Amino acid sequence: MPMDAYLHYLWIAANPMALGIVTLGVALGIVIGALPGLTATMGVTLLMPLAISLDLGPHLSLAMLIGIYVGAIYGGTITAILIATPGTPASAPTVLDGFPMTQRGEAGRAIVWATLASFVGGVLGALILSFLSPQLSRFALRFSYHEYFALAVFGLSMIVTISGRDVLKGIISGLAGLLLATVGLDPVAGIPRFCFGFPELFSGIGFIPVLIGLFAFAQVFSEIPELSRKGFTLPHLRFSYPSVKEFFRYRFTFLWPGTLGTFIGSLPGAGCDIASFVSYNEAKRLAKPGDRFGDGEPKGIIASESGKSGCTGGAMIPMLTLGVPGDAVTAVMLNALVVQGLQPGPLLFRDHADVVYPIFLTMILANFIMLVLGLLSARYTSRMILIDKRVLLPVICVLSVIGAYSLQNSLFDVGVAVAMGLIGYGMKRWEYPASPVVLALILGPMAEQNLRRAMLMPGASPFDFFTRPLSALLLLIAAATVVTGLWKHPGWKREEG
Amino acid sequence: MNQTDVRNQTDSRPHAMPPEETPRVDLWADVLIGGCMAMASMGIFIASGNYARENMPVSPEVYPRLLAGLLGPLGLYLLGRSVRRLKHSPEPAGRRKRIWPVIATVFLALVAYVAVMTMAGYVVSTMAYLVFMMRYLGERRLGLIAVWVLGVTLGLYFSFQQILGVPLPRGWLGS
Repeated sequence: MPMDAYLHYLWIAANPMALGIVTLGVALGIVIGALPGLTATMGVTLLMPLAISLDLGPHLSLAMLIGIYVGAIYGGTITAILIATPGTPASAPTVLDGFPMTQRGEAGRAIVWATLASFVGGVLGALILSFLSPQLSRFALRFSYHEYFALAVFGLSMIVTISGRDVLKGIISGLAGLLLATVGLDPVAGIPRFCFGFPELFSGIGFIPVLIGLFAFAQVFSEIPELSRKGFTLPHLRFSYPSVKEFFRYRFTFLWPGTLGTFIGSLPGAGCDIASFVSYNEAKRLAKPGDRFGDGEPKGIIASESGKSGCTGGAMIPMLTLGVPGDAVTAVMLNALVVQGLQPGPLLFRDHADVVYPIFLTMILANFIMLVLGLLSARYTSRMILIDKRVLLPVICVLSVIGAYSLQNSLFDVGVAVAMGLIGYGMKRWEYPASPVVLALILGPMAEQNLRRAMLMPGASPFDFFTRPLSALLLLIAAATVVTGLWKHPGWKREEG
Repeated sequence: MNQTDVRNQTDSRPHAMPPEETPRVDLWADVLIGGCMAMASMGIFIASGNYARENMPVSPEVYPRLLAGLLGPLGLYLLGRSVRRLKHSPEPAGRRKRIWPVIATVFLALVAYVAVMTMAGYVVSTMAYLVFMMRYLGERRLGLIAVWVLGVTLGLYFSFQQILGVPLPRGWLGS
């Protein structure tokens, strides 16, 4: 491509108006992502009419949505770190190490690590999107029902890794989550299962209300007794940026999960939620002696953030090359493209290069803007934990109630969130981890649907899962993850001893 | 004040202890949970039979039964493990302070908030809930309470209703 073409695309992506629109999008996205219950999908969905009504043209409308996407995926991290409440499901693994860092007074540092990791992962994803879209999309086409089932099983095998001290309780939580995911209309036969005559349950138990309950409300319930006993004491808070040497020490943890997240994002329907858990698991699998995963280890934050941000670029790959959305957010963006008169697919690159190539540059710019906003605000954002909890905890409850309500304008979802809050408190009290429940709710439907669809195919056999190379490989990796996770787990060895 | 003290002050998680030092009340909870899981699994396994369909290779009841078949034995194992550990667990050192009345109050306040919201709408119910909770938690500065209550209630109203276009619950007093 001639140099003046690159310069032309750069101007489209980086002129002052475009930069302003992307900055607005990133800022809005960060706020939306930080609010419990408001996901990146909701943010893009709610603001898409605004973006289109402003009549900015295809590129600027998309630029705003990309900014919201990048910002929202990052924004969920802030509340995950500060108050153990992931703003988006993809930030759930960040709680595991982010909140312990807050508890030892390093909230600002945790946010800085998360910002840097999101930036590196996001830029990596955007670069892979720019240069390897056609190749990755061809690979993604090889995924059928068997491979998606195997991917779901692989994702579920992470439960062993994220279970914390007691693997048995983690597995029980995961299985409970998988059973909860079966409530609702059967995905293949369409009959209601475990609905007990309640039409509100036909659409199943949404994982966002469960996430809000298990994390936000449960955290509030567990902090209030301490607060009423001891009153509010100002927590210790210190802030420092990591050094360049520290940054390079974790370079592998920045790069590998970001690459992995991009790859997972390129699989239609996989999404950033899976990417963040898989990336966390991968970092934990490669842990060195002295790494304290689950106890405030920066690698845990870096891996999950890099992975989920890499996924944002990856999810754009099937959307642009095949016209198939990579996740729920890109499904909305696909709609935005079509409304603007653009048909995603192979011909988009040829016929609308002046839209596609600036999109790549906009993804990179959005991540730079997110980096600047995140680093500048980290010191002040972290001071949120200094707010008197007698004020903060009720506000968190209100935000969570409104967040749960806003999903479907349904008070039933709020009821689910409140009930799960009580259950989540019990789980915290008796050390049953909540993350496996969330992971199971996300992956359970994917596993069941693809298993059953695979078996509906003509001539299907259960052995097909083991004879198809990709499926067999993923199942093997899942089995290895479970076995090595159990083998390495100190609790298991103590039990065996 | 060293880091451990700070952490103990702010750490709201149950403190991780080796299994042999787990308090008896927590082990009894595990016994109860293990037993409930086992019974629930049996119930799910039986109830799933209603969803069987003959014309499908993997019928709707298969997946829940598979999961229940895994959960039930694990629940029983948990129960057995907890009973075994009860024999070696320490006797309680003193009377544990009851926290369940506090949890119950907070939970019921949330339930009341949602119930009132359906009748009175978002603004009234939210203001009432925030005032009650802040006072219950011990905040006495009325000026601070007023600022936060008004700021949060109206701020969220403006953000959701006006900017994002998400309608908030309306009651007989409007929103």
